[in-house]
This record gives sequence, C-alpha cells and structure tokens, in this order.
Amino acid sequence: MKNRQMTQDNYPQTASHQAMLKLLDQAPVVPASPSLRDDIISLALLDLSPAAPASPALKNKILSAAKENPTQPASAEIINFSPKPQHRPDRRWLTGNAFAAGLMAASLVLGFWTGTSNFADTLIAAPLELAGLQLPETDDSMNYYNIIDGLGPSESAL
Amino acid sequence: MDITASIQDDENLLVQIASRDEAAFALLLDRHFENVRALAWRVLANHAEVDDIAQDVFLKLWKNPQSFTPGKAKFSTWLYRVTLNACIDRQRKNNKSPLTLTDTTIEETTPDSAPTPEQQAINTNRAQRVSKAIAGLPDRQRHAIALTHFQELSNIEAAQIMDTSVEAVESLLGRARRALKASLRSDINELLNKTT
Repeated sequence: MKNRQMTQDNYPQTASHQAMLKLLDQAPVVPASPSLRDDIISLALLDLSPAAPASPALKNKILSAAKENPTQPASAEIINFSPKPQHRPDRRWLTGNAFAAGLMAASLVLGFWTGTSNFADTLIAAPLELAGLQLPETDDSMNYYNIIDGLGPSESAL
Repeated sequence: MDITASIQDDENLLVQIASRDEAAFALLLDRHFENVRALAWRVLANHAEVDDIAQDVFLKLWKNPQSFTPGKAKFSTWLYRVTLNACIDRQRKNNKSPLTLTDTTIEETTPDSAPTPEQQAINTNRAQRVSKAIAGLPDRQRHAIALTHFQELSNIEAAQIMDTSVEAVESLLGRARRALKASLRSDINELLNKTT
C-alpha cells in the first residue's frame, strides 16, 4: 500500500494520464461466445454415453485361444524387426579416407603421366603442365620449390 | 508378474510373441485390451460384436506379430488402426447403416448418478439420446470423435490411425460437434436453464 502511494505521488494524475486510461478502457473486451457454452455442454453430454462394460472372461478366452493355436515361431529373419541401434558409420572418417585415397590415386596417375615421382611436385606440376605453362627444368627432377620459384617473373624480364 | 517384464516396451514384447512367448502375449493383452474394446464399442453399433473384434485383433497379433513395422508409428497407434479397420470391415460385412443401438445396452450400463428413480430415468433417457446422436454421425465423424474424445488421443494420432491428414481430422471433428450440438439441442438447453 505504501509503495502504491509512493508511486502515485511520483506519477501524478495528469490529464494525459487520464486520457490514456480512458483509451485503455476503450480496448475491446473479450467477445461474447454464446456457442462456446453449448459446445462445452454438448461435449460433456458425450460422456453420458455408456462406456464398454468390463469383460473379464474375454481376456482368458483370448489367452486360451492363443494357447490352442500354437503357430510356428517366426523365422529369425522375420523376428528381426526389433528396434536396434542403427550402425551409423563416422562420415568424417569416411570422407577423410576417401579424400586421401583419391589424392594418392590422382598422384599416381599424374606421376605416371608427367614422369615425376614426387607427390607434391606431381600435384602442382601436372595441372600446370596440362594447362600449357612452361615450368623451369631442374637438373634432377622437378622440385616443389623450383616450380614455385619458376612461376615468378624471370630475371631477364626484370 | 516379473518386474523386468512389466517395464518392457511393446516392441520388445512383440519380439517375444514372435517366438511364441505366451507370457509376453498376456502382458501385451493386459496393456491394450481395454483400449481396443473401448474403441470398438464406440465405433460399432452392434455392441455384441465388440468382443469378437477384440478377440480377432489380438489373435491376429498372436499369429502375425511381425505385421507391425517399428518406426512408422507407435505400437498403440498401430493397434488402434488395426482395430478401427477391423470394425470398418465388420460394418461393411453387416452393411448396417445408419447405425442403430439397442436400448437394453444403454440401460444396463448407465451410471447410477441420481438417487431418485425419476432422475435416473431422465438420465437413462438422456444417455440414450446421446448414444443415438453419436451413432447417427457419419462413420468418419464418429471415428474422429471416438479417437479424440473417448480415447483421448491427439488429433495427430487420430489422423495416423484414420490414415488422413490432421486438417481432415479437425474438419471431421468440427462437423461432428456441430451435428451433435444440433441433435442434443433440447438437452443442452435444459442443462443451461438449470445452471442459470
């Protein structure tokens, strides 16, 4: 109560405040729903409809009928519908291995084609050679660093 | 009853049933027996056939447990669907449309909610009118009401059981409620006058 009084003191009932309260009062109220009561009562009436009476003998009848009807057990294949945790292979592992294998295969093919054996050299040199770029020749074999150096402007051009 | 058996889920019980485990079958029967009968009771007009349907459904399950496909739906949903289909088949065979109820069934099972014979008679008559109103609904509307109102299933589950969309179930329910309200107008007005 004390707090409310303090609030009122802090926020005096100005004309604008009164106008705002009037506006709030004009906000639409919950519309009447005369049919809702009917809906609720009609649904409640449904429960007057009698439920199925108990039939304890039936359960025993079904069980004895099942005993009298011993069909062959289903084969293991059919029984195998039981939910089991599905084996989900690690996709990252597969992707990584597939990528590495692909890289090795590409390296071998390109190595045979270009006549080089170095893995890194092959990967870099082969596409460039295929693209028709001139690569610097080295004494023994193409070397990764030589190739990178060779891609820059030549000394004579400078 | 074995404690471990009681906590087994339906699908594990089905696996055991497939290897002819009678105890597993009894457990599954205990678990779902009343629900199957209750749905058949609401769907079929001829209540004498309810027990036949329940027996058929469970014996089919015993003979052919692998007909349930896990992952597609819950076992209970599937069982309701099998029951509903069995009821529909039975109705087609009997060719009974529109449905008619027997008065004796209602009199036997009306809850004794009023002390005076007069009030009891009123309630019995009202229950009879309600049952007739439900029986008078078109099949699909009655199925939707049976599943959602009496079996207290969600619209989603009802749609799965009825093999239709949720929107279709909602539409069926809306039409069923309007039809029931119209059929039970006098009872609704009487109850409203009592309360006001």
